[in-house]
Amino acid sequence: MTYSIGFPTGETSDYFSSTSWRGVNIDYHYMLEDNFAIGFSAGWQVYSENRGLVTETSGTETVSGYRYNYLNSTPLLATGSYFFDTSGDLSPFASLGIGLTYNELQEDIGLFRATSTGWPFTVRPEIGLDYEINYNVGIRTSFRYNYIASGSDLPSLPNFAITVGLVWSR
Amino acid sequence: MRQWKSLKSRKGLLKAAPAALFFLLLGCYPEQPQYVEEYDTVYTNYAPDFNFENTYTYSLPDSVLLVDDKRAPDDPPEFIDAKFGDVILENIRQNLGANGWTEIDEAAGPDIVILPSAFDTDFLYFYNPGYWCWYYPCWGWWYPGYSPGYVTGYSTGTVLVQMTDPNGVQNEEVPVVWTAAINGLLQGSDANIIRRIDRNLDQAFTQPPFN
Repeated sequence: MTYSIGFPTGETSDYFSSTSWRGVNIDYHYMLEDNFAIGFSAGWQVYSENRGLVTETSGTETVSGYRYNYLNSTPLLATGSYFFDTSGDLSPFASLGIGLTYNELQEDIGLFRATSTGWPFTVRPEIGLDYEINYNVGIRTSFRYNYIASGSDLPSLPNFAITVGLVWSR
Repeated sequence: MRQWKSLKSRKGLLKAAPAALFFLLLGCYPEQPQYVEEYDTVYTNYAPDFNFENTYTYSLPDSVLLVDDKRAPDDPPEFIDAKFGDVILENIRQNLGANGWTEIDEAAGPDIVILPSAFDTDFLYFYNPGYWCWYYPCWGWWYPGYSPGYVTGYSTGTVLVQMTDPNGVQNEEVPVVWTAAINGLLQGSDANIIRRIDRNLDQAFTQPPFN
């Protein structure tokens, strides 16, 4: 279980310029071999942005008002993870997740809200480090890139994330 | 399987970590509007072929019509409180005057007839034109070259200003060449609401095609 800090990149930066401090993830690994595990990863990252007073014109229409954007991003991925060294306290690993992300993008202006939702395809490479601090328990930190494709009414909304948390093993 | 070294202690603290993380996240609710002004919206739309760079004569009623779908269009007209209505009318006069437009009486045949109205419940964009039959010919409306869209609200106040062109009447329908909708929460003191109406109407006149 990890806490994650998200950093918008690509088209996500058009909607959110600031870091997301609200994220949580649950990952499960089943060790097929000493160094290789398959599993799943689920998470929830919330981005929000106060864009202030915005005036937007499209054709003959113009709307002005205070704009707030929100993104709830919930990846559900199958993962394959390789642990480079499991003999010591430090265990670096690399992982690849493939699956879908439930994205809900809300764009508020005044009392009006436009909501776009979808399940875009997602690929997530990750590198990380586990540090054993107690029997069966360790600290994990990792760096992830979430490539989230466009789909439905949603643009592509990729992001980077740093995670910090705990890992239990049996 | 992974090889973990056997150590001791600190397990109780670690078991509490997931709960601590959960409560930490609950405390981090995304930021939202804090002031009633932040819920205000100014929407404008206009007929692209109408020349807004010219100066025109226009007429304004003495009061701002209150549109209420519980009242039939042919019932006697009702108006919003003058303390709000006068602010709306005066703002329109000032902004159009700044553009060189001249107010004349409706009976004198103005180039433009302006219909200011207000709603204090749901936003009824396509309200019945019959509500204005007391003021000028009982025309329907059409929107040349644009659609004003459809927006609904809740417990909100909306000021709707429509500019109609009586010289363009076709089939008993008058073209609405400019539409402005000011929408926001009906909260705050009268002075606060008046300030917001005034500021938002000013904003409408800074948006295309008046900018």
